[in-house]
Amino acid sequence: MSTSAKPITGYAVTVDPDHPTVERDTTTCGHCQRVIFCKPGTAQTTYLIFDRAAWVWTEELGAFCRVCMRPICFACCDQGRCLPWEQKLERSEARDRLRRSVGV
Amino acid sequence: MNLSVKLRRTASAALSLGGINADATRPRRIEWYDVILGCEAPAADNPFLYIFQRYTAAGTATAVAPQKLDPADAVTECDAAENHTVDPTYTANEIVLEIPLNQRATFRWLAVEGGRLISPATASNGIGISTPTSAALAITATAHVNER
Repeated sequence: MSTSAKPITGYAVTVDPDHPTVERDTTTCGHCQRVIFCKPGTAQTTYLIFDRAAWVWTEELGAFCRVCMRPICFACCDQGRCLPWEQKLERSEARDRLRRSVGV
Repeated sequence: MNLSVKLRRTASAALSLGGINADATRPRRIEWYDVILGCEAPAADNPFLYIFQRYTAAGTATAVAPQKLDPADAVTECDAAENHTVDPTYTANEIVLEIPLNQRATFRWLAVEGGRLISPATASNGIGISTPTSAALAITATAHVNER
């Protein structure tokens, strides 16, 4: 796993009457589909992570899987293996079809 | 087909705002591509944290009929519900979107193909919205999803 440029696949905007409008590019984790907010002007190499305890956004260097060649979130990066979300969906659906076929 | 779902409740830190999931007998994949979040109460300063998380069982809630964006589309199969009294069975750590928001603010997220949130065509599997940090005020989520 390492850092690299990542594709932008989403856009988020927060409109607050008392503050300037905040716009963010987002990308999604290639392993779990978590929406990742990206710091502007960093070629998406810096993630914006929300710190619940401090209620602030923090900047972190992003992560990239060189097996599936996609940006990933830190939780998936920590797992150290590549399991793209498409495979997870197919596994879930296959289990469901099996359960149906045996009447469970 | 593209669908619009409006979810609403008096926010609760313990119970979910709502969710959209695959039908239990005729499951289809659901793609979330547009989400709008906001609070209906008069302007005031209260923090809200919206958590979008995958679940495997729908819980108990008030059913909501997804609205077809193209009236010519066939009948939808997916199920939507709001104002949970029993929370869905959330999958630990499967949080797909986390939004901190002031009560005064409105949030919108859109995704292109390849960046949408997809829940599997698995019975009763879906994505729910909870508000672990919230004030007891009416909140609304409008979601546009594609069922396929």
